[in-house]
Amino acid sequence: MAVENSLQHTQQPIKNIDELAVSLRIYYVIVWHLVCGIISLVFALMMLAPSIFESTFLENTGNTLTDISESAIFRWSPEGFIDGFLLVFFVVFGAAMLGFVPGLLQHRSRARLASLALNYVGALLSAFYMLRQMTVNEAMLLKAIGGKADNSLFVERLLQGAEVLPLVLLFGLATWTLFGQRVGKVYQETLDQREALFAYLYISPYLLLASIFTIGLLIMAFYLSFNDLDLYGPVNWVGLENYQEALEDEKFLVSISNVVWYALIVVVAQTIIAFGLAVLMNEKFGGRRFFRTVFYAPSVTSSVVISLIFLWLFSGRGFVNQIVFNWLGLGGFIEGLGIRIPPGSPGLQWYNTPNRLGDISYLKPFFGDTWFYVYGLLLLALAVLMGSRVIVWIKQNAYSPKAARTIFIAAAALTVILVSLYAAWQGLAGTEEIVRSAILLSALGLVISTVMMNRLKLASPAAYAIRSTLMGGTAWMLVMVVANLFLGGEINGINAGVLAIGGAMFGLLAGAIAANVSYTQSRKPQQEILVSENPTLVERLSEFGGVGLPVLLALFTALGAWIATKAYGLQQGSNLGDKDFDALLMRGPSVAFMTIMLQNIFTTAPTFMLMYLAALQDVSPTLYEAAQIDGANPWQRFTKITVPLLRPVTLLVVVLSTIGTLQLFDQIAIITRGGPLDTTLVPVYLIYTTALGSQIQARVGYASAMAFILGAIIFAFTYIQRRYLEEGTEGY
Amino acid sequence: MAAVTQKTTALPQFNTRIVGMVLRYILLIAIGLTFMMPFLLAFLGGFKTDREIFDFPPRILPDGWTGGGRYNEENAPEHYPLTDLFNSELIPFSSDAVITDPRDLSQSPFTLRGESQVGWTVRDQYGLSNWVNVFKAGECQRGWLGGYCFPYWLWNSIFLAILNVTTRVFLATLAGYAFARMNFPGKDAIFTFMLATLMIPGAVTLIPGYVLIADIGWVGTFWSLIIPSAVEVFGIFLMTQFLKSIPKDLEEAARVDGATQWQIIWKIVIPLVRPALIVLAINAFQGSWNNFLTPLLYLRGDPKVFTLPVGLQYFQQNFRQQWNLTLIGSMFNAIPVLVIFLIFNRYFVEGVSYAGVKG
Repeated sequence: MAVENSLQHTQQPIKNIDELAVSLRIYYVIVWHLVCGIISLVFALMMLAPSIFESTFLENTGNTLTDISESAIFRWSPEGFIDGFLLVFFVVFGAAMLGFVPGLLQHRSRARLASLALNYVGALLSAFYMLRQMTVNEAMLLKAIGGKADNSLFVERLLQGAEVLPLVLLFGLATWTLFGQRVGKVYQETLDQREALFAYLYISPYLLLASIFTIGLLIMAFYLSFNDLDLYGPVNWVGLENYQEALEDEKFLVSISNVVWYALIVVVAQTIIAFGLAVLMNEKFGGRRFFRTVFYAPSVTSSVVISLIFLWLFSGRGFVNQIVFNWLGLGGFIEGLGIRIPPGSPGLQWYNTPNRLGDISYLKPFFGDTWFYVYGLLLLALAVLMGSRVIVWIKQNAYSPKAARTIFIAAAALTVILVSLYAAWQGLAGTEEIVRSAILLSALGLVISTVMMNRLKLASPAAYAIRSTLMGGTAWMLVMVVANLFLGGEINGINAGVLAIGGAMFGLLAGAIAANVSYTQSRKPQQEILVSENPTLVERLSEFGGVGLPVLLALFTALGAWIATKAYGLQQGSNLGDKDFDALLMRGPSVAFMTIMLQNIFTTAPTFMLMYLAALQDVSPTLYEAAQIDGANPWQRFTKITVPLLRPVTLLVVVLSTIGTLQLFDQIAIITRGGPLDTTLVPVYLIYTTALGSQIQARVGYASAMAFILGAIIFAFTYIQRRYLEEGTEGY
Repeated sequence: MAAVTQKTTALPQFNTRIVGMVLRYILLIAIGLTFMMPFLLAFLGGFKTDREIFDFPPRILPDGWTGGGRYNEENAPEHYPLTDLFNSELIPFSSDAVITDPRDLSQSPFTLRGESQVGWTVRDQYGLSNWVNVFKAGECQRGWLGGYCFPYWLWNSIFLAILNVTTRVFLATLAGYAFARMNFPGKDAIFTFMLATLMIPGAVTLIPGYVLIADIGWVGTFWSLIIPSAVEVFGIFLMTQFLKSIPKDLEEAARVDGATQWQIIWKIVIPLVRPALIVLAINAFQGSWNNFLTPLLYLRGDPKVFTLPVGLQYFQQNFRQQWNLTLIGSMFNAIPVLVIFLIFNRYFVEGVSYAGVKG
């Protein structure tokens, strides 16, 4: 779009290669000036403010190397004139380089000549500076091994460096001749080209930082997760071992089960509370702004402050115990729950109580190994929902209902085949690793195929389904083959067949999702839900499938990965014993964790209240009036108008708070540090302590692997949010 | 007849409205109290003496305010709360040593000051000295702000907030202007990429972020908190959307009159987008001021370089008996945000409306 626009707007479009080359040259020169200028200013700033920006890390680790940089010659001080000189140079040079950019853009010849001269000086002095830095490093090393380092070392290196001076000069001249000299030819440069230059200038800080601190870090995280390393030692490639270890690590499983409970309870509670508050605040009454301000106050203060206040309020001698034990007299009730009040304490020490509430592990004998089949049934139900969605989509797009029915039946049948074959395959072939990696990578394959599907624009739904099936299948096959090779498994006929069917199935699912997405985006179903009368069963199902489908899909994929892995582990005699994942999950959150949940609800519910409030104010009052005229009572108006209209906001709130709660960290780090008895251990805190908790064993690679597993779960939710809420954000 | 029926129907309606309104206000006040109570109790707790803060049952108002004298040296209670303090307040630490005796200075990186330890004097019956004592909270290496840590924490937080707000607002405005107003090749691709990067969960880049920062040598310096967060996608997005909603006739006119690009931005665009700038600045301030995870991660080592949130946590974990000072320290963190919130209430609400894209 933008490219076309800019081409249309260009008064003088680029005609031939020559002009393109000239414009490329001027870009080069300007970028060169910008880079030089910024680097110089950064150098200057670093030298100017050593006391503010000085690293204290080395000092605290007892590193003796730092005293060399503190010592006389290498610091900016009255004695060390080199640094003083360099500082002045960098300031002047940086400013001049940046200052020439406008002059170059307007092609003033004086600016060009001056910049040429400055380029030479800059190159020389930068080389000088870098040489000096190298000498500092060398001196540090020398000093560390007991040698002596002084100015003579620098002079020696300087003389050595001077040998390459002619080379530097030649290179500079060549560069200038090639790229700089003909800059003057671009006098006829159009307005739009200059505009593009400025635009790149304006977004360059973002591009630079994003490429390092977003994309760079992501790649680095991915790389690190396949390696075994600490912060100081060498890097060893270990393949998928870190991931494997994470799935068998009891602490990690505990943290995941904790955070699942946390997310479940907090998301549900704070969504309901936020909704209730918003409805309460929506009508006009005196002091409404005052109350809104009061309600929102907990959300603006920092988590540290709230945590500290809550830690104090819920301590043994805090106000909460006063209220619970003395005012409400609930001491007997709490003891009845089996929670022991510590001797010598006037009440419960909330953050130090590991008792888990809501223990349902007695249900385990009734399920046991059947978890896996329960998952299969859930998957089947999901396929039914999705199939109905596809049917409605096809119907509404005026294609033959017969074809729709066929696709639906095919999808359902394939699901059944897949589930049963998959279960059979588990018992028949493959090592444990293959099963585990297959399930884990299924999430990845799903994401890949979904993305691919969304890029496809096909004529008819039948072609759509076929193509997506094929493409999804291929993607799935590839993923599985790679997984097998990675783990040294074998690929036999049965495996390949199951894989193909699995791939086809997932492709179909992906196609359905894509169809669903395009439908949601084009039709805005939440408007239609209001006006539809006498919906059929399929339509009702599809309604649910449309909104809840992606959430369910992500949840089931994650859940299925866990449960199937664990079910397999149980059959083979897992080394986890009684502490396998589903058993952990059944034991519920501890009192300490529930107190933290309470705090999170207290701080976050007001934020979501504001979101609901903003959406409520967009609801047209005529809808309510019309309903009132038709004889709807307040409750009916609430359930038939308010709730359906707020469904997009609810989805947003649920997704945002799920993402937030899965990344819980601050409260744990401040209040409980994962204790008591690991009942408040959460993944991000575990990752943090694994990588940086102790100086002796800092397992960076392993922590990155855990972060990636958590990240995959969070990414699923974020992806749903982006896909489904794009239209919601367009309004702003 | 008609008049009578009207009267009978009107009356109950009137009553239910009154009752509904009263119920609504009772509910609102109850909820409001629930939301404000922790802050109020903490604020009042800051005025209590070292002993009173641990007394059970706790009272809402400080003893000195009600003319109490419960904690006079002569009639001090037999059961001295501090003595069994560390038997009752046990939070298991994973790696750090547990302080067993608050008076044993060798166990703590801080040195307790005589004044803050006693806390209560006859002259200071309102507990105001706590607000002074908090500035002598812990002992640091001596520097330009004296030998105590708290002033450094406060200054570091202010310094970082100023720098972060400046860079984020400035760079986001520039980039937002480029995306909203200018044509350049690859604009849509870059914008899509930018929104896509929002989907990367922070937990994933946490550890490599530390490794990178440590490699550059920025651990323990403020560079680590300024540079990586100098541009926020949320800010760019907000500015882009806001600028798109403003007609560009004025700018075109200025361009025809021969204004340069910079003049157009600073003389025409900036005054028009002031509301968005305030939203952006508030958001950046809140983010910087309340930030805990990244300073905790990057500012390791010397307590002198901590920000206020990290410092408060550090203080609380090393000084678990000094609740009154911890609470006052928290007030120093909470009050600036609350004041800004009260002044710019409207803009906070607007910021939340945009939060949907923040993830």
